[in-house]
Amino acid sequence: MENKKTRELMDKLEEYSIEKDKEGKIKVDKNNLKNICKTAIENEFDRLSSLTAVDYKDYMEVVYHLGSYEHKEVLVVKVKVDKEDPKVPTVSDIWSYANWYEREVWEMFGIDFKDNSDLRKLLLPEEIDGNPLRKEYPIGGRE
Amino acid sequence: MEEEGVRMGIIVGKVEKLFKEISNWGRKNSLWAAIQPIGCCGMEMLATSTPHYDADRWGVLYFESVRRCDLIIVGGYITKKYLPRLKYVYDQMTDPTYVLAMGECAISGGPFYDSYAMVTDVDEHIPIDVHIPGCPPRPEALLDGIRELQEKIQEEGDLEGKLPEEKVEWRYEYSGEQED
Ligand code: SF4
Repeated sequence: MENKKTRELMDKLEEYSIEKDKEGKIKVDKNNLKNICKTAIENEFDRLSSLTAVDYKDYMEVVYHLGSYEHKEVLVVKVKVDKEDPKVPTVSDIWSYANWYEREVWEMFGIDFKDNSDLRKLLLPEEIDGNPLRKEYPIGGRE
Repeated sequence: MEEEGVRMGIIVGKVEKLFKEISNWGRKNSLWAAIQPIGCCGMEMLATSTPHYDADRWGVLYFESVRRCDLIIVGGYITKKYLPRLKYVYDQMTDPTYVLAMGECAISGGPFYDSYAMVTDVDEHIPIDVHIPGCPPRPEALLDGIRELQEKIQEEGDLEGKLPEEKVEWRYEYSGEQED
């Protein structure tokens, strides 16, 4: 059966009031994020293969892909954030390499990762203001 | 005074002009190129130097050390982050410096015109002598651009007045020295 381990893990995560769909994606609350990551690691979903964000105009979503070398499956975790005050807890204390992902999301979307003390620009030059991948950013940076 | 030109095997004309012609002839036939293969245009640029197209027939030699080069071929997308580095390269080259802009990206931004990271007016930052349109231009087009540049050099010499004053300023800016 497809995504067997992912389904099993999703059942285990039930206690964190997750919203799941049949493709193996779960929507979670940002306060439960860390616990969910830890539970996933215990169940061999121990690799953060990507961390990115999506701007849906009214709100934004931070998307985590937790991969498993053991089972060759991927769990997708989505966290909804408010557009005016985007704050998410950092996972860089769980996976140290998440720091670069978070810096990139921070500069492109302006999402603040709480407790990440190393939020500096990663790819953008200093003179670019604003968050280029947000929908309201002017096209080409031209007003 | 008689008309300028070659008469019965004797060159008639002003000495300075003659020297200028000779130096221009030398310049145009030995262009040492600092290449900037930043984007996909870079592939065509590199192909131009391979035996099949052989840019060396026109005296264009790709060389590693920018300080010994007098032609810079800008091929590809210049981003806002890269622009200071491009200026830095341009600044280190010998004078007179000639610039070829290869491809739509270097000319105006090309397909990435709407990107937040693109510099769409490279011409404002370094003086471009010849624009070669195309996405990417074929090696033949690059060779045509080189030929055009050579004609320009023969006619205008060191393209007088093209050495911008800012170039001197950059030199101080980047080396951290102060002008007295
Ligand atoms: S002009 Fe076209 S081929 Fe050249 S770098 Fe730009 S996109 Fe690539």
